[in-house]
Amino acid sequence: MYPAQFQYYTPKNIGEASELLRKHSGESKVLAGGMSLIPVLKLRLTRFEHIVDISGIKGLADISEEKGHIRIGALATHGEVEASGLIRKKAFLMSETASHIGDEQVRNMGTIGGGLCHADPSGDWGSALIAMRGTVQVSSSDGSREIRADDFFVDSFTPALGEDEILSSVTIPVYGERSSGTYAKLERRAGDFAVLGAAVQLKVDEQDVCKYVGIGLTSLGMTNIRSESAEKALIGKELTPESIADAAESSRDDMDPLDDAIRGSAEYKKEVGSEYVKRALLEAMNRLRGGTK
Amino acid sequence: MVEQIQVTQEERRNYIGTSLRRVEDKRLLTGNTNFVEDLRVADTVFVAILRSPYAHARLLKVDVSRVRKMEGVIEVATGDDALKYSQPLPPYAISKFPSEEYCLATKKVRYMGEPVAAVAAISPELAEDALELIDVEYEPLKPVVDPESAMSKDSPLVYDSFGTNVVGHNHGKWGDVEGAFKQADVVLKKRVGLQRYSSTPLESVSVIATYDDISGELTLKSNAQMPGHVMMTISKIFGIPSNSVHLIINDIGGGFGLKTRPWRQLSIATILAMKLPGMNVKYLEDRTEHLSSGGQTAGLMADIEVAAKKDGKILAFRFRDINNDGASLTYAGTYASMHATLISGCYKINNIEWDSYTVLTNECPSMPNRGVGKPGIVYIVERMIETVAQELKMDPAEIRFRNFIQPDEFPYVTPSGRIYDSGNYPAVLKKALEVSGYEEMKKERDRLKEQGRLVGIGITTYIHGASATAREIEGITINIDPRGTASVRSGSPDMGTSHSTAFVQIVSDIVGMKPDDIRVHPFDSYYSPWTPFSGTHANKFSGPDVEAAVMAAKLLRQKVVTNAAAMLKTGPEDIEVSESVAFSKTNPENKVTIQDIAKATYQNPYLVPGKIDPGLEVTWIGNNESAVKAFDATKEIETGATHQLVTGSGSPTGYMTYPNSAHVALIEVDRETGIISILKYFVVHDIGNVINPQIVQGQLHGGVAHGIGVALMEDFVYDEDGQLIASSFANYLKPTTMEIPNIVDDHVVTPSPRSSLGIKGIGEGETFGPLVTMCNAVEDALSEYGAKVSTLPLTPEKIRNLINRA
Repeated sequence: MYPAQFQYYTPKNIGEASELLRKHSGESKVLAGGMSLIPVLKLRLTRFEHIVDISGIKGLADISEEKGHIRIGALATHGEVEASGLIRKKAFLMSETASHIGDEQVRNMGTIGGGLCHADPSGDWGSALIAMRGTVQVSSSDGSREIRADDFFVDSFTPALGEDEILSSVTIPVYGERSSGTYAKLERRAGDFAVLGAAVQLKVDEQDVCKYVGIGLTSLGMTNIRSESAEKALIGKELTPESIADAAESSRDDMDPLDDAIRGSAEYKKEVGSEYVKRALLEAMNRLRGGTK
Repeated sequence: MVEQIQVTQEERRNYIGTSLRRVEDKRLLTGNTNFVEDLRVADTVFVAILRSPYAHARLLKVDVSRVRKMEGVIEVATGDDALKYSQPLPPYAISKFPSEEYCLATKKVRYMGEPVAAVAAISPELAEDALELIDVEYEPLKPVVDPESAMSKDSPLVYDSFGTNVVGHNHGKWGDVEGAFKQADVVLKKRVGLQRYSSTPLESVSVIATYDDISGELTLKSNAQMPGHVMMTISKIFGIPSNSVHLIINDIGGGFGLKTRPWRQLSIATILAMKLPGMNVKYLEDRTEHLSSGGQTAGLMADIEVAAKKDGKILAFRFRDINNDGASLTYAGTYASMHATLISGCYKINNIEWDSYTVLTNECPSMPNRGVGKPGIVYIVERMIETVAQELKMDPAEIRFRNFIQPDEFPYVTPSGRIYDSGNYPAVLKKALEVSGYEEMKKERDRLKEQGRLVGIGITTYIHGASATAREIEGITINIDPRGTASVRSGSPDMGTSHSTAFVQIVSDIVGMKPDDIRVHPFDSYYSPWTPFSGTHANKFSGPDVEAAVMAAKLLRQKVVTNAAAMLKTGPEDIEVSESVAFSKTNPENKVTIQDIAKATYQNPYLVPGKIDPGLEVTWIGNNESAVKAFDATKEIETGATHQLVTGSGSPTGYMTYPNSAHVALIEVDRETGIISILKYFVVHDIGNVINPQIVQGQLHGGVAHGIGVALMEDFVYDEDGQLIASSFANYLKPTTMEIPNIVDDHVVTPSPRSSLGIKGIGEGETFGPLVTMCNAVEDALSEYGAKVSTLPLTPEKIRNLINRA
């Protein structure tokens, strides 16, 4: 179980990395934490002539707050996101999502940028990013641009990145007072790939009317997807178990999961998917009522 | 020989029965290990194996001309080399058909992952790259993956020359089955099935093979768990004398049966070694190779019909089972045969008909796995009992009490001619009910059910069948060297099973030595005694291995006592030995250390005044008298199954000891998702006396955890083309500690009369319980839906469908 031979590079900055990717266009891949890439290389499910390891680039793992946003460097590990006091306090959904990824070892190695760029429909980060209407910043030697979460996932394992572009950071809005978020993940065993999952971010006014609703889904489509129907059903409505149940019911319309011989048929995933949207919304509501998160 | 051993003095028990800290741990935990991977030797070449991507295909061409030219590739082997160097792989149980299977495929490939060619190169990475330069032409054939389809006349044939895929059939009929069915108040039918699964040892199969073409010596450094079978089989496959096979077994990272018959892996390495004399040919099977071709259990499907009276008394049952042994004869038939071994479980049921089929398919060959067919028969019998209890609305504990073999009925002869040694099944279940607070638990369940929660209790009681058969004799050498330290060499290797600790406890107590003075050596066929059965399998340690150790230790003690008496100028009857010191019982100040005895008997044996017995070494091969007697009795009456051994003729399969267990669990089902949570889990068992309680607890916990994995998630899923979907740990789901509940355990002790220490086996048995317990608990939890479970694993979707369909 060894990867096919490849050339290995350790660029010092994004510019260098981007040049390498451009030079070896179509035959190169960025390596960050390696938690997804290394296994598929070892199983020879894929191969690249050139591996560009960006894990040594300095300043790409910072977590900071700026102007109502939290910026997370692409190389921040899942564990660092989970442990960040700032994120725990102001973007709890991100913290909770991190805690569901893999096991301790994976969380200590894997990075948020790597997880997003892998664009696995069963990945957890994409749902949280969609629910929070976050953005990613991508850079190349030509400059930088910003991509909205909704536009980032083109297809399974296909992010909206140019050949020489590298995801440098993730930006999350801070929802502030009367907001809460939660990630409900169904897994066959601790740390497993999601059978399915629902990430929810809510903000209500003083009358408990939903001012913001974000719902991202895991393993319920060809990519992480947004449940627009459920969001629409809930926005402007008072947050009650009934309105949540209605929204969850309508989320089914947005789901188009694949059959999986190990983790469940499409039919099962759709049925339980809407249940998980409901559970996530109920939990988010309870957290609002409890005044925490 | 047995009669000559006289140990008159009462044996001291300082260590047997205590949780002596494992002597293996310090070395293992500090990383000072000798797994095959750890062994770095000069002149090593690394093996990679090209495996079939097809489940069934004709092999038209294997062209190695390109790979031979690749830099770094040293040697290549194909099916042509297998034909030239080796014999077909021998079957263990079925002799009706000639084996056509070689370690490398010849005319056909018969399962995804079957070895087609192998490369030896200067690095493992390069070897794997080289496989891409081997040009193979396949003509894909229609595979057969469903065992019932494989039985039909128009099925594709796994082996064309056999003319059938049904390679084994057993039929047994005992008592008056028809008559009993006529008297029944209820007759019920049930279909049950077990998936193919594996205990997946952490370390997969590995070997370093070296061939000396001058001496003709073949050295295998491997993690095989049955050195006896390796010595017999490799010498046969390669036509070399067994005393030229130098087998060295250092650390083994778990075996569970999957390392008992690694013929393909060892043979491929051996062929390359023979083509490269003097080179060390190293092969480390990777995880995907191990999962897809290292061996899986035989899949089981059984149709049961049972007859019972209204009071819960089971009158009779009949069942037909189909066993899917995959694409090889090597172990086929053994899973099925085990059903006869525990055919009526712990119940007094005398009217039984058994109709059993062993079928080949285009799936991975079967291999022994923690209990072989015993989990299957336990599953059949216990699910049947549960079905009757449900129909009669009888408490599942109560129906078992009504059918148990009673404690005064031992030795108990089962319909299929096995003789249970001892036990107290009612006491074990009674204690399990007490420990689990069963009556309270039922109330708790009912209370939670009223709240709308799906909570259920599962109970099962069953027999393990342990300590191997008495015929599977083991060899041991115990030696105290001239400096007074003891060495133990056994044919039974430690594979994480704490052999060393247990041997140290036995030798310490019986000889009278400090544990620190004793060392247990790894297996080396040039220095360790061995028999065809030598190995760690079938809970054998608790049987023949311990008996050999006890016998040898007693004989060694006799030598120590004789020599001490001469040196202390007293009679042997006056000598006690403890903590490496021999002393006079009447005058304890008159003493001599074992070190000084060793010095005297080796260095100046004839200066000691009095009669001494020079040298302090004993080798013993055999079994104790009561075990042999029991075996002889079984041999006369046993029907249903015989094993065609690699060594020759068939042989009975009655076990030396029959431990038993009761498992009780409380679970909850998530109504919307079908996810099962285990709230409480209890095990009470009777494994007789215990050598080391902590080690037993570890075996128990590990067994239950694996059983829960099989019950809830583990499954070698194949698609209709015979492609294995679960070929890595991403898709072959093993439970984590998060899915395993705290396990509360307790014990009942009925010492086995066939064991000189009164012990029974523990290695396999606790894996069986959860398979049944989880099904019973789920049906109890879903009683409002009347849902019935038939196959494992109990996936969330399967549970959800049961609820939806109701």
